[in-house]
Amino acid sequence: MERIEVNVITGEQRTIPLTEEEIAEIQSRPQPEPAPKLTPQQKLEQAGLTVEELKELLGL
Amino acid sequence: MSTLKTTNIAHPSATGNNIVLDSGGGAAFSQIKGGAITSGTSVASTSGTSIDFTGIPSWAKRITVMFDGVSGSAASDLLFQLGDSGGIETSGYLSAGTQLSSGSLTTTNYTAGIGFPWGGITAKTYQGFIQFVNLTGNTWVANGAFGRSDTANTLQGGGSKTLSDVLTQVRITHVNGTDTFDAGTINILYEG
Repeated sequence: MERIEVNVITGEQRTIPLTEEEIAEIQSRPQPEPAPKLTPQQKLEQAGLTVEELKELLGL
Repeated sequence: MSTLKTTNIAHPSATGNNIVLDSGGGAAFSQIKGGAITSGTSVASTSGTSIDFTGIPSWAKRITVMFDGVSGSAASDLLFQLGDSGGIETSGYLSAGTQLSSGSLTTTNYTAGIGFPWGGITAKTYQGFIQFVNLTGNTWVANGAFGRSDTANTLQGGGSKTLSDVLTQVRITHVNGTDTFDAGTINILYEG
């Protein structure tokens, strides 16, 4: 694994292999929480629909 | 009133001229501090697990990181991290990012950087920018938006981070740290 480093003053660009410490830090990095599973009611709310509107759309 | 006639003006400790005057009435400044936007050097984001912009001057108060057609390998979310003289800081961020597409919304909190949930998408093409603005001291707040051009999809997000020292660098990477960038161009602007 390697990273690209660009100095904004000089414009110098280098490709640098990751150090063991950097790899260890990556491996210990916390992962994001998974997105919560939504109930059908919450999904409707996110879509801006009411149950009545959905029924009307489906012809129920 | 008199006129000082000279061509070069330099600080005693400077290695070059701070200001060079030309016969046409122009003036070339080696570096304008404050009141001007300075562009970095664009970099092809076609490889690497991270892209670091280093050497950001201590007087910078707003930093813009710009994407044109940027993509990364599929597994992990996009992450922006800030750093100082002690290196890139990888924790202590307050951040949330959202991906919006037709009929779908994904929102995620991030603490390892300012994040955007683009994981799981291959061959994506995003355009846009994120700005980091100095709130006070070493505290920076961020706001970004990116549009995906190969399909209708957007990323929005923001957050904050208090560094332990003056900001000197910005890193663009992924949450897992191992994904690589595989398309596009990235550049930076900074202003005082």
